[in-house]
Amino acid sequence: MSVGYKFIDWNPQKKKYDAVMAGCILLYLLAFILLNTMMFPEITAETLIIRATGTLAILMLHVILIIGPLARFVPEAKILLYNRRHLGVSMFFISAIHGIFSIIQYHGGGNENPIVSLFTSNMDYFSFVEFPFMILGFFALVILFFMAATSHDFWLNKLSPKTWKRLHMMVYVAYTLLIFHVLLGTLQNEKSLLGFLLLLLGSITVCGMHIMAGIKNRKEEQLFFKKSGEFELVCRVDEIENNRAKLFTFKGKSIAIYKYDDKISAVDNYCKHQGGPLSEGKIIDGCITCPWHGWQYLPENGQSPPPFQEKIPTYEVRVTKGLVYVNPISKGEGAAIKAAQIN
Amino acid sequence: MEKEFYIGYLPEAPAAHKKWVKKFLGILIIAILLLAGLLTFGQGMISKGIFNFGKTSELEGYLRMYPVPHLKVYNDKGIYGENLYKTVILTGAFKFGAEEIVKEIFEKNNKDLNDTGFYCQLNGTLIYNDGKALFELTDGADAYLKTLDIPDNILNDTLSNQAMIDGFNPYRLETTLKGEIIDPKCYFGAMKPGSGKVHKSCAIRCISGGIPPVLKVSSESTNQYYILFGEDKKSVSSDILDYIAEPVEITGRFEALDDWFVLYIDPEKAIRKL
Ligand code: HEM
Ligand code: FES
Repeated sequence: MSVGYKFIDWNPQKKKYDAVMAGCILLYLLAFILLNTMMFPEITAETLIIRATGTLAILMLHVILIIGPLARFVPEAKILLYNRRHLGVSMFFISAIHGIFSIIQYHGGGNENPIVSLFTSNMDYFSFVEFPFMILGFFALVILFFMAATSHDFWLNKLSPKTWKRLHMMVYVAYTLLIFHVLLGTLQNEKSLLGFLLLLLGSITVCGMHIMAGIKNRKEEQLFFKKSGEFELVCRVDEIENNRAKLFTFKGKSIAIYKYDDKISAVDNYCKHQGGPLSEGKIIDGCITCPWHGWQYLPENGQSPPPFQEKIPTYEVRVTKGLVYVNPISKGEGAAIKAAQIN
Repeated sequence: MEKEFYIGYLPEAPAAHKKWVKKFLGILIIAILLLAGLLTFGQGMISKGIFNFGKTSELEGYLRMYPVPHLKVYNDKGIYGENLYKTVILTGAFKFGAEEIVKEIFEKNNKDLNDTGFYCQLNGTLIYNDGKALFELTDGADAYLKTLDIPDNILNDTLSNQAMIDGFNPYRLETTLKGEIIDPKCYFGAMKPGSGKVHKSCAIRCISGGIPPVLKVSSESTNQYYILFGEDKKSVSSDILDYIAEPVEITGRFEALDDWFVLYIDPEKAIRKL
């Protein structure tokens, strides 16, 4: 499914996104450092760096994980999604600072190589409470590293979107490791319950939002499969550019209507990868190509070309007297539907 | 002509999106400030320990090797007019003990390590908290300044002169204590946190690097600190690495060393995890 990898480029929106992100990061760091030096004048610079970056990184990870399901409920939230990689890469760098400073601080300057010490100083591998929590953070950092390193579209193509996606699903493994990293580390040193409650709240939010989004998806699908609907008028054939699409929204559904080879096909607007807007994509090599990361689907059945297995819902289309009609009730994900001939 | 294949999102977000993003940002900024606050307060206490990092000072006292390398420093007069001393535990740089450095100083002065020691002036970095002090000797060469005569006020102090002499005490009492083994350098100032689970692996590094292990015994109002040492002038550091930074119970015979205690233990049988 490769069509070159220069899809992601800078545009004013992205620059704004990054500026806002950098602003938020700075705001948090400033607030945390200021409050800490006021509350705890004894705190050392190393501890401050380790804690400021550690807490910031996990907060960012929560944001990263929450905006996905959020976009299912609040369509406007998709605007946060499309540049999520920058959020992820920044999060990696911040947690790398945390990890490196921790390794130097807790394992450096001793009678053992710091990395060896990370694995061999606390050997309570078979105890839950005494478990060497830092290696949980270490493995999470390794996962985050591979995700950040492969975040460019070059790797999406190189690894194939499927492998890429699998790799990036590892973020949930990293998240779980980090929950235990904090639970078995810092939270065991603290007497106050506040940190524990915040972590609980965070993980409940992440899990809850994912479950709710899953339920919503399933419900919507069932709803659309049951009814058999009427055809709706969309637009004139000549309003759609060749190899391009027009977006048609109807009762909360977004449908991309594609024109190519004197034919019209309709598929769901929502890319299976990260929800990219397929109506803004293009037909390349006979496939609908997502503008975000280049995933592809065949217009007549919404399926990714083999060996890929992604399927998006397809819709029946009719063309009469130069007008395009679509049945907004989907025939299901990957359902084969003959394209409507223009002539 | 064909349009450029559109990349990413629209260059200009639709008005509805813009409005939503503004609202979202407002909430986000409030959340950021709130969380920075909560995560700061959630930290509970941060140790008040001081490590005069980058600021060396000079300290004089009786330099001795056992039970741990330390400098016995005149502190104050007691209520009977007797001299009060502090035992300032010496450490090396980073996660190392002071044994090698102190050995060199002894050699330079042609003294036997088993001697009661000699009066000298050292250069290093102070670490202190909770009434206890440690002194980090930076480097073998810089650490030792000079050997001095014993000052008169110490020499003439008949009441506590005996304390200068490391006599074997046959009256050490056996006791069983519950506490946590800490590395005193980090605990008293070099690190925050310097004890507990977070600090466990660092404490293991420090103690295996020669910083003397100390048992911290906490009661409601105070902490007491027992330097762990073997009978027969043998360090127990390598035997107790598995027990560091966990609740443990230790049995041994103790004696006072100025403001510290020393607990003489047989590491094979003395320690139990709780
Ligand atoms: C090599 C990897 C890592 C090491 C050695 C490491 C080490 C540590 C240490 C020593 C602490 C305790 C700090 C304290 O209580 O003062 C800590 C806490 C924490 N770590 Fe990590 N960590 C690593 C990776 C990560 C990563 C990737 C994250 C990503 C979010 C993370 C998030 C946190 C958080 C949220 C805390 C608790 C809050 C804090 O005290 O900073 N850590 N980590
Ligand atoms: S959203 Fe990533 S390819 Fe469509």
